[in-house]
Amino acid sequence: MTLLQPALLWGLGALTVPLIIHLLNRLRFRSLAWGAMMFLVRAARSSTRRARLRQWLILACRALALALLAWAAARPLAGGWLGLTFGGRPDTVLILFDRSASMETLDPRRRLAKREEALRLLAEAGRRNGAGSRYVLLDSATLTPQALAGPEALVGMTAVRATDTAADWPALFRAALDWMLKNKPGRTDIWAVSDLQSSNWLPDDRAWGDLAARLAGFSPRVRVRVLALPAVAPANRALGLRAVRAGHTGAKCAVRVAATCQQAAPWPAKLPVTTTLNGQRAVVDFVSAAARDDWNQTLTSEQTAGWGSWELPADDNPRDNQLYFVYGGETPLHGCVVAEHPAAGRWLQLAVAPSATGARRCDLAAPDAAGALTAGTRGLIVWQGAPPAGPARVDLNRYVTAGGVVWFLPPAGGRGAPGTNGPADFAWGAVETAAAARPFRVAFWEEREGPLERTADGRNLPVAQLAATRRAALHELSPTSAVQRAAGWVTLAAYTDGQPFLARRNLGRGTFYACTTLPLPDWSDLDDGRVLVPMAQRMLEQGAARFSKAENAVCGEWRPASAQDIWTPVAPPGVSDPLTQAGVWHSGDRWLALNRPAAEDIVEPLAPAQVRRLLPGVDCTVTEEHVSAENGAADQNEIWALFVLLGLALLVLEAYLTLQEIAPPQPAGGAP
Amino acid sequence: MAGDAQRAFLDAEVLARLSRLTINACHPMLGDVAGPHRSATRGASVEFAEYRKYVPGDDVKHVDWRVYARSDRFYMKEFEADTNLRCALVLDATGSMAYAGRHGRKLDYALRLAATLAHLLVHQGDAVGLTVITGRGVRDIPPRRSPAHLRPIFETLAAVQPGGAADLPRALHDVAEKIRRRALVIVFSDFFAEAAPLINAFQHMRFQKHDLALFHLLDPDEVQFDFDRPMRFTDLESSFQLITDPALMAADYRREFDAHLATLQRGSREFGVDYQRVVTDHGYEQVLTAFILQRLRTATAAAGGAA
Repeated sequence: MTLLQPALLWGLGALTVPLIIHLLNRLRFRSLAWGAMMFLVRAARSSTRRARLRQWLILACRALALALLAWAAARPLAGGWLGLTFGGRPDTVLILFDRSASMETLDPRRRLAKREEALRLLAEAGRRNGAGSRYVLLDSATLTPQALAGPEALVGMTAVRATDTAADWPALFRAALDWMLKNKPGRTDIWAVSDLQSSNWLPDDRAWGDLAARLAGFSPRVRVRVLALPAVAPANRALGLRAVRAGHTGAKCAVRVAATCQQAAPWPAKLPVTTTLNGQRAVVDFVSAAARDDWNQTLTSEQTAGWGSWELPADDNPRDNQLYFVYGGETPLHGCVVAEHPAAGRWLQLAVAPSATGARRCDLAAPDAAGALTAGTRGLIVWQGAPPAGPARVDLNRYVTAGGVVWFLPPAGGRGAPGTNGPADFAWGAVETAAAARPFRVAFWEEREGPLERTADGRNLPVAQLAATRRAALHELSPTSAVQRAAGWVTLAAYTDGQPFLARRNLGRGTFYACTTLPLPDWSDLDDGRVLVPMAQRMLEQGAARFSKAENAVCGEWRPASAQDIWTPVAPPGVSDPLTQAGVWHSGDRWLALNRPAAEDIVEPLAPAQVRRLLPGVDCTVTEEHVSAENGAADQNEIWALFVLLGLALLVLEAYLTLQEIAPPQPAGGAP
Repeated sequence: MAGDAQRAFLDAEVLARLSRLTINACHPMLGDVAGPHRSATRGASVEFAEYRKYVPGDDVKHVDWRVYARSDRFYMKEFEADTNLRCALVLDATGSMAYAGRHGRKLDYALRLAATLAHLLVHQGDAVGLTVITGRGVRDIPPRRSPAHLRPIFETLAAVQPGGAADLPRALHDVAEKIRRRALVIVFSDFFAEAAPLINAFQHMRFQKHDLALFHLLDPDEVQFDFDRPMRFTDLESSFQLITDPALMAADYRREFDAHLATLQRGSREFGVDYQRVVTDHGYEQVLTAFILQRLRTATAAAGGAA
């Protein structure tokens, strides 16, 4: 049996209350000189055993009633007939199924993938629940509702197969709510199956407040049962792709691959990694010593475009042992700078295209010409000044949604125009000037990915040496939709006082960036280029990737640019769906490599209490897998009502025994 | 001293009301002088008793000549003798009689009954004696009919200190043996002793032709046993203590108590003992009135039966 509020079991201390009262009563006796002692002694002799038995029964009734009430307060759960009888059977069961890559982690004891274990538990729960409930499946990869005959039918369904995507739990709950609003079911239970991975649940997502309010206010009442499988496989290693750079030397192509190997419990080991380049396999030994190791390798190929993969030896999650990459083809690296301050614009142009020759090109444009900026093959638009409004805003939104990157910098003159209708829901606030000799320093930045990530050889950018004397405040405007709320601004780098230096907001396939200082001498030393140039280059490469003939994308986030594109699987054998499966794909002269989202490799499960806190006011139960596996608790119901009923029955019995004792005396006789 | 004692036991108004009634014996008595009670012997009263055959030596003045004229046989005409009675008041002053409920001690109640009866009996010409049974021994005052005899009786009653345990049946046997002639024996006690020996004592009394009357004195607490919290009961006749929750044993106590009362009542009825159960929350005048009237009815019925 599982308890939702085990802390309330301290209430079992109330068991001692009847005992203490009994002992106190024993001490509170009154003395009386008595004449008819012979009858008293006879009565004591004959009634002692029976009376003691009754007294013990009364005491046991009181103590047990209190214990049961304390137990009921701890909100016990039970499966099987007990849970169904006292918990009630729902009209509809919505199964939210996590198909993320991390669900392929093997259970340390059962040697079964969490996803398969979840299917087994769901089937068991369905059998216990019996007929009478309608089952609907919502999987994390497609968010498409599918009616089920029962949880037993899940086994073998395509909709619950393993994927290389991440799960977006706010989106899953939102899809569940949308389905409920559309179909208006009766009493509904939501069975959420998850490994509670923090990057999937997004506990900081502000959408949770809205979701919780809607679930709590839903009529009839909705219960959420989370079947948690948070076990971490300490021996598991995950391989992720950081970057691929291809350089042409004569007829040959040098492909530099940067990868990251992560593991929950690091220990030094030499790992034979199988590398493949255009079908040629080789085994390379890499040393794994820390929780995160960055590995680099340069391979040479005769082919100017192609693909490759790396594979770790088998471990507790076979799904995260591979990475795939593609390379080749000339990618047009075109950028554009829109700047109200000419000097700043010039520095930014140089950062985007340090040399006018080669593949990189950067144009300067006026703000009113923004409509023309988004055309062509521009991968990056740098916007220094007040964010645009009106048609330019619409154009920039469309540009970013299609995969472009826009980088905002503040106006050099101070506060910009109100950005209520800005393309990224933000506005520049007041400019703050640092005290003399105490410039603003960046204390934190995201070094694992993004514009400030480490270099291919693992070295950090000199962000910490950056000194800003002026900075503009970044105000995020109130989002107008749940989607906007879910995709808010994320700080990638922050000053020592927590104010953002660089922030990011994803929209569609593209990204907005906002940097709060300028590459001007009276603002910061960004103009020395040590940080500015890598930042700008990475943003440009990110935005230009969509024009590349070889695209390394994230599985689940990638969408085909055109429905007419036909992508043929290249590796690994057996893959068929580029929307959910990692691998290498080929379409005409274009190459596509899809890998798991990097967050899937970071094993940080939420605690059950954290999950419950995401849904305040909702009847939410989190049942951990190890309990479920032993007790079949996937379909557990609260049975506090049973405990209350038993407690009341005991109190009635206690009252009956007590009233028997104090029955009014029958007069023995009277005066004649 | 006697005056104080008398005032403590007696209520003049109660005595005035009760003195209009006569305390009768239910059985023939053997007195010293003429009195209001039926005698066990034939006497010279005007009330006809019976005929019997003449035997030589009989006084011929009692021959019924009319019967002789009709039947040619000599029959002696006998008349009832009226005599006084001797009354022995037996007071149980053991420790249990000291129990004091909300209505006072049982012993005080018994003292009032005994003193009032002594006063009434003496003033109707009967002899009254007193036997006090305590844990320290038995104190006897032989019956006398002089009003002055009330003084030592009241003094003795005033001096009674309850306490200790006594063998009440044994004491009653002694009383039965000690009184040589038929007498009215009135016992004031709570009879907290085994019922069988007590009934044996009653039987002994009746065997000795004594007219036995019992005042069974009980406190309402002893009858109802209605306590609502744990108690430490200390025996009034010994140092024995019992700590218990009365609620646990009330039912058994009442069963034992009622069985004892029923046994005593049954034994009394079997041997013609006048049994009066008295709960001390009732007024003693009421109790005595009922007692005297009941005896009057019984005596009248007995006299009618004999005629």
